[in-house]
Amino acid sequence: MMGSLDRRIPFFAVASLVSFGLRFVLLESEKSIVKTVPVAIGVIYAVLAALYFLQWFTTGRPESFDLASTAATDSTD
Amino acid sequence: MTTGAIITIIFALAFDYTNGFHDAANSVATVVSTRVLSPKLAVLWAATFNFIAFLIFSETVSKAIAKDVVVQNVLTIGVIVAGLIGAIGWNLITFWKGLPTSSSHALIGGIAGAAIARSGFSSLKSEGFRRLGVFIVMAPLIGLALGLIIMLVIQWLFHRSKHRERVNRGFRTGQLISAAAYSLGHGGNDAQKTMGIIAAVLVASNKLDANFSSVPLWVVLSAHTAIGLGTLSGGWRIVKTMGSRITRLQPVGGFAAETGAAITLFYASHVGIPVSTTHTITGSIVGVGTARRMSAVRWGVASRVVIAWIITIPGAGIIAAVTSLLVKAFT
Repeated sequence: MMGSLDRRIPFFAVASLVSFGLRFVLLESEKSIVKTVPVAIGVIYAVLAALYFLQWFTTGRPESFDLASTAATDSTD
Repeated sequence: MTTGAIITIIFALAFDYTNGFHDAANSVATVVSTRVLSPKLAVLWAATFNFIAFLIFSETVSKAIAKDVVVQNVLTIGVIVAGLIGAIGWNLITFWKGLPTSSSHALIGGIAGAAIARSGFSSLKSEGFRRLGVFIVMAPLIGLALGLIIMLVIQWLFHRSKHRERVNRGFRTGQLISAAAYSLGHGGNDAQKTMGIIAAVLVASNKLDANFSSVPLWVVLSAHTAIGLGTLSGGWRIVKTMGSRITRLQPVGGFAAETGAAITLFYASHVGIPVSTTHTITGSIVGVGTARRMSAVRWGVASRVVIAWIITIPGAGIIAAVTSLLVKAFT
């Protein structure tokens, strides 16, 4: 049975839409290096949303990488 | 130079000092919370890189502050000093409340509020404010994306490692470099905001041409010294929020967060956008947390920070507007 939706998926989807939307707030006269960044970040969030969706869709559970917390267990400091 | 101009420059440097003091947490929270450096060494490390940032970055951000926020003829000494009082007042209130709000937005809100009180909304430059508004939102989103991606890449590279303790120990050293890079970015972007304010004072006093191409060296050195000294003084109330209350960090996470934030600040300083260093590192820390799982981020704390961000520009603006009207009434 499919588990509950990984909450990162809607979060990244909204972040993607916001980034694309902000591109249109900037004036056309802005430098291209300024105008490109919201689009590039929008694409990154869209890809992240798609990848996490595929992960959730195929396994039915959220992906949980946890090097940090594993390392915390192993760490001696 | 008039006494008013000298007092305003002192206010600007005081703001720069409170900026370093307020934002010290951003520079050192992750290295302190992951116990890579002791608090004293961490602030010394951060302050050093805050200071030497002037050797790395050009003056694009200072020009943006001096020329792109408020119409030049409205930017009088009275408006600037009222704006600074608004920003410093807001910084002290949020410091007292332990909120990691943006000193940069307090400064811009303060200057804008003081200008509006004197000459109405037409005194604001639309193009500059649009760019600023877009990057108020974009800075944490860029930091979040980069923090997340760097964390995922690290996890992908090392997920088969049987020596995770050794990997994490390696990132303790890496964090020294990432903290230095972040402190460079912080010094580069934030000290330049003060340089921009002092440049505006010099322009208003006819000591600098309105179309200046570079800021005098004494301005550069004094701004970077003030932010470095502010960072040295530290701000431990906010360290707690940044370092442990948003998400729990290990050296690997601290490295990813600082690197993501540093890249964002390098970009912003390169293209001349005054962004919030606080927003950027907070976004990066959240990004590292979401790489693990959504629940690794304490969204209650993160949302309290977001609320503080939203009220910063109007909050500092109102204090500055009242100050501006008082200055006008008594001069």
